[in-house]
Amino acid sequence: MKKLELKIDNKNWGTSYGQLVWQQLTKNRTNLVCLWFIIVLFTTAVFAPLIANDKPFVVRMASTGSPQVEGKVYFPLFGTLTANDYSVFLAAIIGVILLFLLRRNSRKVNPFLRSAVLWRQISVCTVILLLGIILLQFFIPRRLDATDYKAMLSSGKATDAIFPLVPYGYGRTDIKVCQRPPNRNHWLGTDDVGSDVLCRLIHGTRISLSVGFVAVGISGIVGIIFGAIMGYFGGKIDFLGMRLVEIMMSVPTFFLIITIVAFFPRSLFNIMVIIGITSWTDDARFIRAEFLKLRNQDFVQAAVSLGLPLRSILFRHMLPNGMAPVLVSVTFGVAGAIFIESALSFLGFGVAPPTPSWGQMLSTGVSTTGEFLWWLSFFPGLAIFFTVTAYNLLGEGLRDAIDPKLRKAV
Amino acid sequence: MTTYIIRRILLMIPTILGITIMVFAISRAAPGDPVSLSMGPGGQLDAQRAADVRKARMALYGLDKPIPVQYAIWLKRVVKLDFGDSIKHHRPVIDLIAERLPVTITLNVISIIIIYIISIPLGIFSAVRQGRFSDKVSSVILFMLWSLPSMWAGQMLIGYFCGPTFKNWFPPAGLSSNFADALPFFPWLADRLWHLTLPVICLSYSGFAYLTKQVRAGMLDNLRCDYIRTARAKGLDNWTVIFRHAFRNSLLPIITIMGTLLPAMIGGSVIIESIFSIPGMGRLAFEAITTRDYNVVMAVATTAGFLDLIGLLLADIAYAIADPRISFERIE
Repeated sequence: MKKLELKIDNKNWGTSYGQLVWQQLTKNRTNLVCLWFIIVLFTTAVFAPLIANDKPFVVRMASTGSPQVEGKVYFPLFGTLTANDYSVFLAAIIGVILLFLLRRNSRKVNPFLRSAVLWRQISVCTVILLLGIILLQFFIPRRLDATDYKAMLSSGKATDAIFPLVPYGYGRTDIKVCQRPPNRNHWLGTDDVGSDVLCRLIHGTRISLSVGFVAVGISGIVGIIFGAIMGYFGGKIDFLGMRLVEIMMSVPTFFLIITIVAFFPRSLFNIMVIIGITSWTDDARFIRAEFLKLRNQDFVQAAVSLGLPLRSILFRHMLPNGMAPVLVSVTFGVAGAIFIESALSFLGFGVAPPTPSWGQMLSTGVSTTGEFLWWLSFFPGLAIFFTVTAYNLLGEGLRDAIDPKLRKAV
Repeated sequence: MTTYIIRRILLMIPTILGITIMVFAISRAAPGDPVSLSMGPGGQLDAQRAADVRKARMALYGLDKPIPVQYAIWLKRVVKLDFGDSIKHHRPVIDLIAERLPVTITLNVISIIIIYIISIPLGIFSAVRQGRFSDKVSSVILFMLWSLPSMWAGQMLIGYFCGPTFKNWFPPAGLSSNFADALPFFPWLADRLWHLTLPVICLSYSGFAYLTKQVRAGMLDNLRCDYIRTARAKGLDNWTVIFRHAFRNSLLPIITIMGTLLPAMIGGSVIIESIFSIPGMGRLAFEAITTRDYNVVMAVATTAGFLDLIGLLLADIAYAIADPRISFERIE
């Protein structure tokens, strides 16, 4: 007798919505370029201290020096990195691992189990990351190394040294070379205290990207919660919520932000929070509109009748189905947050000067005497422009990829 | 129509209240209070006397009352347009705003007019020539303009055109030359325009890029419609179809965009006015924040919100004029 077999075709699960959007997105060459640009930007931000630093990776002391150091090999750069730098590296590595897991899941895991598996992976990674950060904070000492390795090299105290690509520190001032236009030593010139512009640009990437992401994360979370509640309950809650959104929208955002900036202490974290809590209105409106459509659909009714808790109905069942428009507004939001941060820094309301920020660098281009040091304005501005453009283009691409009307037409 | 406008104005009142609540809440949520700021670390007063002085000052500024009462008192003064005195200028804040507001309004109105004048024909043009080379080129340029940070554009323009380093074509700062008030009208106007050229360019390019995109999209939507085919089928010539039929129907979204354009422009004027040292409201806000002139900051934020609401009201009225159905529908 032939045994009855339940056939499960492991390889053919069809294409999920996310995969469809991703295929549509990466079909376009412009979107691919933007994605690659953003990846490069992220890599630069993560590895900024390894790309631009005035400490060498490796230095070998000369044999003529004092007997303790004679001929020894040191690794000054890795010694001066702070626990925060190492935490950033760790976070980046875990992020990459998560991306790979995501890709693997979509190929090897049954769609019905995918979200459970994903949540487990995310929570394990988060725990590892938090543990790692705590351990790093305990074990990495904060070291200050003011040794001028270049001087050691030229005076013959050290024989060999391998410097990073841009051998300057972002806080290092050098009055001898201040306000130099781009030249062979300083590829993008130096500013009014003699810091290397390229080095400050590279380190500024960290500020811009972190502001972009944290601010959008905050606004996304606030917007999704507000919008979900408004859309799901409707009625009075919706009415009151929409009035709040209207009020938030009718004060020009930039004025609102500088008003808050005026009253609160200026720190990077505050700026992120301020940008986050003033720009959630778009996300909330989009989510609300989606939830209004979704709340009468059968799967939501089923979830309600099963007696699931509200949190589960809103965020496990409805949100994945109404996420698409928010994804677009989040991508535009990153561009907006980066722009606002650089505008605030440009006006002098951002992070304090030794910390490199693109907007603050941009503002130093026209000196008080009216002289135009073009390289000080041009390159940071170009960085802001490229970053904002990349995110905007990606946002447009994503919108086209998500819009089913357009997909049918193409 | 009148009913509609009155109704629309009445609907603005809760929003205005909301704006004032928000501004007041921000000022009260801030860490540190004006009294401890003004008293400093305490000096040689003993603890008891310091507490007494503190109490007296709190009572003087009305800070000892509960927050809602404080808000009511503040609101009562705001309704009478009394925002208190500026700490830096030693003048009533409302005088400062009355001086600066017209400048900002002029700047924004000129920019908005320019935005609409340029982007409507450009949008129609690129929609009609959809997919051709000129359309693609203009789309790319417009997209880049849209993402171009205004402070970068402003800084590059002022550096290149207003300084000794490159070209010295435009004045780097201010609204008029010295002694310009003594000039007769037309030279005065020319001088004013000369000063306004670069700021207006900076303030308008991003908006006009955005609006052109919207006009193009709206026109394309309409050009695909059946009634356009009907119009062509009955033998109307191309331009009549485009202007009388397609354009009129894509007018409404163009008016609505005012609502997203205006807050961005009023916010952007802080940056532009700071770059070009134009004595407008944005620059007032900038100066007030650097000198921690809190009364001015609160007044400017409230005024900006109010200005924005008036703009939206005008847009809504224009909307009702453009489409008579709307005013009747909304009265229901």
